[in-house]
Amino acid sequence: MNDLEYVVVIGAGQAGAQAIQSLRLFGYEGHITLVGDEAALPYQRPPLSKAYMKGEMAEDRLYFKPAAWYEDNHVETLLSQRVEQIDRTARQVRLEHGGHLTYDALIIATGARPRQPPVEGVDLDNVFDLRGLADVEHIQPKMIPGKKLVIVGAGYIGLEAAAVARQLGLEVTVIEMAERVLARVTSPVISEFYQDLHRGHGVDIRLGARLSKLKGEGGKITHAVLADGEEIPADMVLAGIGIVPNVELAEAAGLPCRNGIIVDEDARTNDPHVFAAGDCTIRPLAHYARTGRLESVHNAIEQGKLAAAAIMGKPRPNIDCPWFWSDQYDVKLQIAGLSEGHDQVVLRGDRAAKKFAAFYLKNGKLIAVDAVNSPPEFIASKKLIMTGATVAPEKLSDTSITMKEIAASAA
Amino acid sequence: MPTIIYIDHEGTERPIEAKNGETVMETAIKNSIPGIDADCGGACACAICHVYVDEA
Repeated sequence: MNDLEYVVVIGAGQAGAQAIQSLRLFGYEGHITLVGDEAALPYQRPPLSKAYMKGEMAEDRLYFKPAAWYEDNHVETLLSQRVEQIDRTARQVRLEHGGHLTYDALIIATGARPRQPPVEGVDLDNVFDLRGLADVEHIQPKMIPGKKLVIVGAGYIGLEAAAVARQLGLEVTVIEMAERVLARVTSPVISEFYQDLHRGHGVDIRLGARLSKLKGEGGKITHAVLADGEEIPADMVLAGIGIVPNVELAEAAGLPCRNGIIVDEDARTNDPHVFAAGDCTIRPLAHYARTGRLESVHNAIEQGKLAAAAIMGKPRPNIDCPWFWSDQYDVKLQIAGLSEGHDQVVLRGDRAAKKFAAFYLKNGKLIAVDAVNSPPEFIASKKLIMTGATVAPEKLSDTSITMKEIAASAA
Repeated sequence: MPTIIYIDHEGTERPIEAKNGETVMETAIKNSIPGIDADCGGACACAICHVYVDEA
C-alpha cells in the first residue's frame, strides 16, 4: 500500500493485537491506533474458561504484551472506547466519545459477543455469560463450594466452565438442547467421552433439555425452568450457547457481510483499504475449498498476520489448517482440521485411559482429528491434513505404528 | 533475577533478565524474541514450542 501513514485497528482482542505486532515486525513505522471497548490491553481469552477462571493463573500472565511494549512500539491505545461509524469515503472512523481517526488502512477486529438465551429472566442477577475479563471478575467471587451452578449449553465454554466449577466444589447442572454434548463441533464418540467424563466428576448433564425461562426472586436467579416444567435450583446461571459476530459497524459501512465480514485470502474486504480479522470474519478455508467463520486463536493470529502482510506488501504468510483446543479436568483435547463432511471415523488409542484420537476421513483423505491427551496424533494429523494425503485407516488405528511413521509413509 | 540467553538459528545471542516464576516462553514473548511465537500462550496446545532438556 502506497502512502501508508495511518493504520487504525478496531478491536483489542487477539486478532487486533497480532496485526499490530506483525505490522511492526514487517517494518511498518507509521502511526498505529488501537481502539478497544474493554478496559484492558489485549489479553488471551482461552484461559478465561480454564486456568484463569480456576484461579491458577495470575492476571498479568493473560496479557500478550506488557503496557511498556505499546509505548516502546508507538502504538496509541484508546481503551474503553467504541467506534461509532466507519466513513469509507473520507477514510475515517468516528469515535463514540467524539473525535475521529483518519486511516490509510483499517483493520476491523471486532470479534463476537455471546448469544443471549431467548428466554424470560436473562436480566436477573447472577445470570452471566463468558467472553471477557470483566465477566470472570463477576463470576469468580460467586464460585463458592456447595453453590448451585446451572450452565446453559454444552459447548466448549459451557463444559470448560463446568469442569472448573466442579473442581472448585460447586454443584453443576448442564442443560443441552441437543441429544449429545458438543453436537455442533464433534462426532458422537467424542461427545460420549465427554459426557462420561463430566458425569464421572458429578456433573448433572441434561440432554435434549430445552430452557423455557429463568425464574427469580427479588431480582435474583433462583431456578432454571425447563420446557417440561422441571425447575432446577440455581444460585448462578452461566449461558454458553454460542457467539454472534460483531458485524454491525462493517455492515453499516456497506461492506459485504453474511454472518461475518466477508474477506479474501489476505483478510481484505472488498474495500482495498479495509481488512477484517478474527471471529468477526467469513474467510476462505484453504484446505476445504469453501468459506466459513472460524472462532479460534489460530484464526485470529493468522488473519492478523495476513492483514499486516497485505498492508505492507509482504508475501502472504503460510496458511495453517484450523486448530483448536480445550482443557477439561485432566484431559487436553487438541483438534486439527474441520470434520464437517467426513465419511469415516477411525479410532486410535485407549479411550478408558483417556488417551485416544478420532480421525475423520473423507474419500480416504484425512480432514480432521480430535486428539485426546495425544499430542503426536495432533501434530502428525496437522501435516497430513495440509498435504491432503491419503491415509490407510488400518494404519491409523494401529498403535504399533507411530504417527511419525504414518505421516512419513502417507502419499 | 536469572538471565536467559536466547540463541537463534544464526547464533545471535540475546541475554534477557527474566522474572522469577515466569516461563522461558513468556519471557521470550514479553521481550519480543523473534522465532518464539507461542500461539496458544503456553497452554501446551499448539505444539509450536519444543523443549529439549540436556541430560547432563
